[in-house]
Amino acid sequence: MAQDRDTEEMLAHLKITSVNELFEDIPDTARSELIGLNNGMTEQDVRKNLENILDKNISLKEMPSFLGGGAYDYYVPAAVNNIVGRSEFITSYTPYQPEISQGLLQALFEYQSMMSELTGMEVVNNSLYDYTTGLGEAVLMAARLQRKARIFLIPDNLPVSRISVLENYCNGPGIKFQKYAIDKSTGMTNLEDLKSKIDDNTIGVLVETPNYYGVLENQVDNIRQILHGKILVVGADAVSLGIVRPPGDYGADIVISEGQVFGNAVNFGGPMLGIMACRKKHIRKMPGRVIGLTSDTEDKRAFCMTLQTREQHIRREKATSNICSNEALTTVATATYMAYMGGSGLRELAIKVMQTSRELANQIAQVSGCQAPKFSGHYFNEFVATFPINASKLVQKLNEKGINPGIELEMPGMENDLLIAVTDKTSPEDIQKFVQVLREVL
Amino acid sequence: MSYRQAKHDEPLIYELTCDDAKEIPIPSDLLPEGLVRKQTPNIPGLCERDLVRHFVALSQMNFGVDSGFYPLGSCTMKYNPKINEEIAALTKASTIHPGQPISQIQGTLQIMYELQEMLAIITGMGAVSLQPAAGAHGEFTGMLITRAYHEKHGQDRNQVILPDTSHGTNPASAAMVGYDILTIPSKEGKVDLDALASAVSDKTAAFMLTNPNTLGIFEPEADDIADIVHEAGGLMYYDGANMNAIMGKTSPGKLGFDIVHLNLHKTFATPHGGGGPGSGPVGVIKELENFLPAPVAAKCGDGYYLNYDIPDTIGKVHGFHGNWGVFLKAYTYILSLGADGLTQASERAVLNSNYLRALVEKFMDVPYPGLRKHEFVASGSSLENDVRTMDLAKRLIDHGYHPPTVYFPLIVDESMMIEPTETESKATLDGFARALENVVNEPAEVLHDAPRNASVRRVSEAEAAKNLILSYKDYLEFQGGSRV
Repeated sequence: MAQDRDTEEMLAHLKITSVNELFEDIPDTARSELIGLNNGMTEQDVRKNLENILDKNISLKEMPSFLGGGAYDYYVPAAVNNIVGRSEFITSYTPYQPEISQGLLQALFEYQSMMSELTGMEVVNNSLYDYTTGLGEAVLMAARLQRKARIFLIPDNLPVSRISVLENYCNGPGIKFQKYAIDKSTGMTNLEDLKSKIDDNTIGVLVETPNYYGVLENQVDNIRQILHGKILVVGADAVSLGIVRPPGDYGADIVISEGQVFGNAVNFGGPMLGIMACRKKHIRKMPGRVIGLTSDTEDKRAFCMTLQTREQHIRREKATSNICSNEALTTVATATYMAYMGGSGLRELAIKVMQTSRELANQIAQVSGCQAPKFSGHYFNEFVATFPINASKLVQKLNEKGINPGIELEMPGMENDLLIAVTDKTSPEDIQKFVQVLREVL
Repeated sequence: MSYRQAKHDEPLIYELTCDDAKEIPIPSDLLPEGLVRKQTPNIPGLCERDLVRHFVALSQMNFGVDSGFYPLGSCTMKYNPKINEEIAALTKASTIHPGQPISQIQGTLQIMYELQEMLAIITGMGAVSLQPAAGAHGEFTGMLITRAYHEKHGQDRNQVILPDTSHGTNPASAAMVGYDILTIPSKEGKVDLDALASAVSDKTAAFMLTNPNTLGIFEPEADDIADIVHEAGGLMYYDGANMNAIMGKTSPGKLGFDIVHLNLHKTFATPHGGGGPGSGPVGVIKELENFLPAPVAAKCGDGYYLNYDIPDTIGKVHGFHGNWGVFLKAYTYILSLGADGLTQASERAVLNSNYLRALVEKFMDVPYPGLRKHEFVASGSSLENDVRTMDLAKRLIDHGYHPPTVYFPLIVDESMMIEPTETESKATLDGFARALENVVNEPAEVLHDAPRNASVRRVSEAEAAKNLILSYKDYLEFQGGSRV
């Protein structure tokens, strides 16, 4: 390849003849080339290539799907995509220099403000990778608040994958997990069991509402009481908070939620958005970026990152977390979505999906041999149903009929159960098709 | 000096007029009393027109690579080709659920598999996991692998060693996994082999290094470093933040490293998104393959699947499979450039850096002699009249440049870390050097007063930390308090 004029001029300026001279500090013995990689392609060929490969995928648009388990296919308004597509946001980085990054900083501050209202918590950070890693960071933070305790209590219906992430996050400082029972009939916390497991060595407890079975926890006040001063970490569904009591209302210390549902595509489970909220008095123990409102030298309102002394680029091994790159753009999408919907829009959305999930459960329950929902506790957009045949067989049969009915559950005794979710995209026709093909295969 | 950033007095979203919030009644049969949210969340709902105008105004007060030169050292702010965004936005790419059976996601798995293979070639590693969601998350994963490896071999090793030039995430990530950190001083901007030799012991779990290091200097004694660490029984960890300097020239595998993370948002041209999403794949040598997070994408015949059968796996580090949306952009980039293009990218990144350094060292100190790779560090320590590097950074904004990284690495006094990347033209570098030279020679009062042409003047970070106004509600309370 011929050298372009820039290269020639720069080489001449450096008084060298080849760019290879700039790599003379790499010993010959350490040299290697990119053997096995193809050569470059034109943009047109790249597009064709990618489109051909992606054509092997079947998108959720092509097949009624009732898949949830932490990632949900809600409708993303065009305005949200448009705003998040602004390249000034996309191609910037962490706003280390606030004067030139006010737009992003203000958007992130607005996200903090709106999310604080939604969760009922005083402080929201900006941001963590996803819900699951958010739980890991929450337990680490809880342990910093309860230095002498070493056990953290988690519900026994947490899927293995989430427990694995939690253990990876928390083994370092020696935190151990103990499971408390979720009641087999209500699907809610077994209070007696939880109570029996709390002692001096308890850091705190994770309460998910809705939990992995989709069941909303209706005993949060009792749990807060049982816990005394221990740390209450609440895992909440962001959409549900339009109509469900916010965790700040019942004394949560830390709230973790998944922001993907607000204005972001499912994207095969990433990028997501780990939402983290806490009480203001605990903020110095919190991980992640935080945006503060301040002023410039002319007393004009301005924004900047604040409390950076908790962070790795300053505190190194003593930082509250190693997190640096986060999910800022997903946060902008979430902020945009919330403002697009407004409080009443979010409330209407929550009512709608709750009614849709009820309708689906009712319809499934009418099919002979099926039980929906399995648990008696209230549920939001997701529930467990029990079928007369093995769940993986059922999934296979329903896939062949053109629907994705739900997610299999790994817990023992739930071999015939599926976790079934709806969103605002779930249409009456989708529900009709579910029930129709269910009748056909059973 | 022709640059002017937009200067809107853009209200906060809470201060914009919006439709009167309707109180939406919740059907009484939906939820019991104890579960109901009594009040509609206090979140303003804007009509689409106002929403778009608000955020467009904000975007105009934000500087990205598409706005101009962004030489933020260590962050590799290269131009991101637009095709990457379009591919990631395709419905067949974005509207895919991790719970779908593998027969429905063959395209996704093929791309993941092939990306793993490409990254293994680029790093010289045996196998790659795409699960970590950012560079620091990759470091964390690498440290978990380190711990699992030593535990498997019955070794009780509690120390991670790193040079004082290392990124802050390195010690933070190792500490999260429970390691004690031992920092060794550099010698002439490079790893001090004697200091390393006396630091290693049977307690050494790993040595973490980025090469070229954060001064932009290639560590020529990489072989000896690896020998010292390996002989002591430790693993060599490569922080891939600076991978943009060496593609096709050498590889972490060739340099004796055992574990590597990459930052797809740096080297592989996926945009930084105002701070994320990134992606931090981890590569390991064959011997460590069995410790990778599960699952990895695998191939069987003509089909692809998720392989959970990894004997000594550390388990999971992410709720799903990592940042798929970012994988796609990096895959598109690697496909576009190919082996030759990636090599040329590193060559041009290094050429741009050495050229710019030659221009800058005429009027600023650039400590440590010798070649640079993709970045270099200048020092503002000889500035007079109470002018600090931060003042230069702020004044560069007035010339239309995003400032370089300042006050890192810590071993250079008043440091300014400049990474031009390969996607910038000579004209841009010349313009930047001229601007920086002008700035250095400007009177102190002008520099202290900068920036003037950004959307706001110098922002008080001290006041932000003192008042801790972190939401609109805080702001109202603060105003109420201060106005009494």
